[in-house]
Amino acid sequence: MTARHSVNTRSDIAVIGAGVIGASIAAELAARGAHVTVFDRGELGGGATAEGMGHLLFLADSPAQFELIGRSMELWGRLLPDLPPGCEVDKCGTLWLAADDEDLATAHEKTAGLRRFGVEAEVVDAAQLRQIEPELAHDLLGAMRVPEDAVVYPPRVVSYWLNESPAANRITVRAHETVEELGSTSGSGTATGSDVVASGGQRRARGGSAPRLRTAGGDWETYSAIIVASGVGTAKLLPEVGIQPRKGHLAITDRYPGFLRHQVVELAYVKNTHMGEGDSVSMNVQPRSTGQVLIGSCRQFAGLDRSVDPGITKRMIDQAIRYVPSIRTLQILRIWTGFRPASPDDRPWIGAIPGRPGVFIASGHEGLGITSAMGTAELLTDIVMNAQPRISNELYDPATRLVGAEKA
Amino acid sequence: MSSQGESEPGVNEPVVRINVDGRDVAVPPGTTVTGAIALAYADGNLGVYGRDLAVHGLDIDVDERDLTAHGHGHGLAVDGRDPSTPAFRASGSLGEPRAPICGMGICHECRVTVDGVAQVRSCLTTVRDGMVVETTGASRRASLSAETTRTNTADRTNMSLSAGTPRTNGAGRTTTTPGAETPRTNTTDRTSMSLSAGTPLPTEADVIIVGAGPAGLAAARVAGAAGRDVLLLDENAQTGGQIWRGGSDTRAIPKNARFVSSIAVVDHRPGDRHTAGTLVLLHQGRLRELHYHDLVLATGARELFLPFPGWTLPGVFGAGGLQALVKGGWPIAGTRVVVAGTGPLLLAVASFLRERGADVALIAEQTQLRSLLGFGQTLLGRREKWPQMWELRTSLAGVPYRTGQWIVAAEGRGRVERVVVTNGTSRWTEPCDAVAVGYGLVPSNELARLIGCETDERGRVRVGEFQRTDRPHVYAIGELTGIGGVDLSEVEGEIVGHVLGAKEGDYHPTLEPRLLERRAQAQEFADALERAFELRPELMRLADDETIVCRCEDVTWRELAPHRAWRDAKLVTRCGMGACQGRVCGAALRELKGWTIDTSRPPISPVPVGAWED
Repeated sequence: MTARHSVNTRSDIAVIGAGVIGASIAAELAARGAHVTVFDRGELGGGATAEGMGHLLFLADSPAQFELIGRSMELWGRLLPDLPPGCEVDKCGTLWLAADDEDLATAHEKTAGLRRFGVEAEVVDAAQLRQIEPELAHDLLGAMRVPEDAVVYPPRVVSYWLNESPAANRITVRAHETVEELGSTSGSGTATGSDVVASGGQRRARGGSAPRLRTAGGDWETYSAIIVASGVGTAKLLPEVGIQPRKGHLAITDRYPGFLRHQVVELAYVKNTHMGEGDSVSMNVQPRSTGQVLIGSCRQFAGLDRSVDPGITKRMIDQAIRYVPSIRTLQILRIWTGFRPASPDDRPWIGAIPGRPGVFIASGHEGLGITSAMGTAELLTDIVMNAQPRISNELYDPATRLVGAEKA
Repeated sequence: MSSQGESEPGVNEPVVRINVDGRDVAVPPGTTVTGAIALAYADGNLGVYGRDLAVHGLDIDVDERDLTAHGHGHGLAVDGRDPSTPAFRASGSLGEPRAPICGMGICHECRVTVDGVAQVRSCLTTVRDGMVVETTGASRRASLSAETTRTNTADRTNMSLSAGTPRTNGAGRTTTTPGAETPRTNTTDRTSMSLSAGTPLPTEADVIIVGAGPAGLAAARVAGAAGRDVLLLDENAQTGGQIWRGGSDTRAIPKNARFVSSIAVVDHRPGDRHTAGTLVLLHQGRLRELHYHDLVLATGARELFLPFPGWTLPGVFGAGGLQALVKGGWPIAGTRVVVAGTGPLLLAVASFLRERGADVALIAEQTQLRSLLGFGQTLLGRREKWPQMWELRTSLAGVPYRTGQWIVAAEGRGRVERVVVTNGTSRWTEPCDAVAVGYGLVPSNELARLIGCETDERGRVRVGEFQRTDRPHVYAIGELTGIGGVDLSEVEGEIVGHVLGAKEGDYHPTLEPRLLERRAQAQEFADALERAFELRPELMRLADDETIVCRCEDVTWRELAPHRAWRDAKLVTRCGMGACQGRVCGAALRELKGWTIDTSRPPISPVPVGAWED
């Protein structure tokens, strides 16, 4: 399929990246009346969206963090009942496991933190833990239980948003089309007669120049707004935001329904995952609604090398056995790697890109892309459509962060 | 004692006593667990699988709705009186009864719980005294009964959990159910690869040959004789590959070569300054690394399964699959079998089954007589094939052999009871207890693809004149490089043996021209065979909307319809993401839709989590 023949000239807005972020943005924009074209260099939801666990979880380590995640989880909570069966929705809840007294103190602290925001959470003691999850190691001291956390199969959710959601008829999907570069009608690549100009009702280029994009082998196409949501691919189009691939490994087992009921994560997770540049491993084991068990997790900065690293795989599996001893009898069917889009300060980028009129970003969510997707979509749509944002994007705004970085 | 018939051990013969679904049975040594399960159920007293479910009604409403909605209402009621093919498991999403089709570790339909370890491929596991086998999954039952805290708000979660309940059968009430608090710490011997011939596993080998079939054995013999240190590996307990395995003509291990049986290659690492490459092996429940200087891939082939309505019913087998299962102790005497598909394998299988007491009702060869006669001419020109032909002709006297006919559907309640056969113009039914369908073979190329060897559009590894692949120090021989039969496999093995035996940089000083000639002749014969038995286009259109294509994940033909490529379909439908990792549906979809599987992920075959432990 060539770009020339598939251009939807009714589209106002282009979204680059049909992952969970791009697709949720497209669905939200369309729901608010926009005509959207979504580009992806591969299949829908075929990047980090397909590589991760699909864990929807409440986090409230700071009020600012909770603002985005809490709102996102609220939106997910409304959507989950409407999703088709293939989305594998499982409201399994999360157990944050305490291996020592420090962890247990953290469990109490985090529970109080979540409750302050009205999120249901409780500390369960060792005896209760053994009762609700008999396969867990018996030396664990307890856990924080967050019952409203859930699990989905993200690639299928993406396909729902783009093809089946209420306003999906306003979304045009152009899979297997790579956007090579961005430009603007007044900047790089002056408008020419060959330009395909979008002609939708409300499009209006800001400040007299409109953003453009060029697909591989295609012409320049002009839109009223272009949203870059291409995960690790963001680095190519918007090098200034410094997104780097943070490699992870996951293993999946055969089907063992009922083996675990909750997603189980070690409480040291947050501590472990933000230890900087080094490799880190954190126990994170998830029962799928199919009965399969996903085993994670680890983080490495290793470029885009997809090969399975035997050393870190072993560390990851050893850690799973430490917390879930009987997992050793389960058969692993497949191990794979994936890349989280990591920003330099571990915060996603959501907002307009300075110096690129009409170009917006929603990327760099690292391991929280699925959880944050719906809140991100709402926030970015508010920004793009000049609506009053429901939540603040101060933490995520490229304008302040990039300018700040330059000054520093 | 429950097993009857020809497999009943004699008074003084050794027997292995095991427990299948709560019932003690005695079977001959060397029987696979798959064979033992079939033997145990053959007397009709244990066959309460589905029926029992209906009586006890565990979550049956959800299941029935689900099954009806998917048009698979036949899934539940299995008559326990005479299940010539017992259901081994319930399929993951629909809960359909399933039984093995391949007999060689490919289809994963034979997975059962062995000594408390769930999801073990029973066809690769040999019986041991005292073994406890459950076709239903004790751990799953324990977990389900402990179902107290989980609050599933989504219906589909309930559905997927209840899909596990058909695993509860009559035996479940009499079997001690391990409490959920009992850690299942049996980390060794849980897999099929538990028994080795006792050869200690080194960490390094000069030449590693993966696959001890005709090609691998020939390569080992010649390379060993030429002074190379050869280590021959096979997933099975015996040498001989699928063709010779378990038969009277099981081949001896070549002198100058060591053989390690029951070992699975699960991963590969590229070479570095010290080694040409490293294989990761699953050996006695542990992962082991093995470095090599030269690697010969002789991983053979497996059957091509083409989906048709009813092909997931217990009792529908691959032709080679049924043969392998019977070799592993599956009782076939007195069973009415329809053999269908294409090629000389059908005759060999029919003859074998008849020899074991089966009632072969019909051999349906999809090729037209015209095409067959042309091939007959080729055969007549090859004297060495005459005795074989004569033998087949004699052993199959009286069995109807019909050309230009093929199976369009299998029917029955919970197991196959009849097939619908056509000649292209009319259709009729043929009653039977079992169907053996063989549409030819496809290369087993997972390891080759993981290593990065180039393959062609039909999955054949590309090799040069001396069987070299495009990866350094990696050779490929036998069916992996193209389906060509025993003769071609052996000569390719010999060629590699000579190449490996030659001095460094000196490709083939001892490689005699006659070897290359023999290979050319065998290739010519293989090509003639392929032309004569080309699959007719009708076979690619047998699946209807409700036909399951991916057996592991219960993905139907209808669900695949909107998709244009393998990866796209996989992401949305889960096709190919189940236990067999696309081995069955991937090969079928290559034929049906021209899709190619581009990735091969480790492990190549399932590995227990505990194998990573020190």
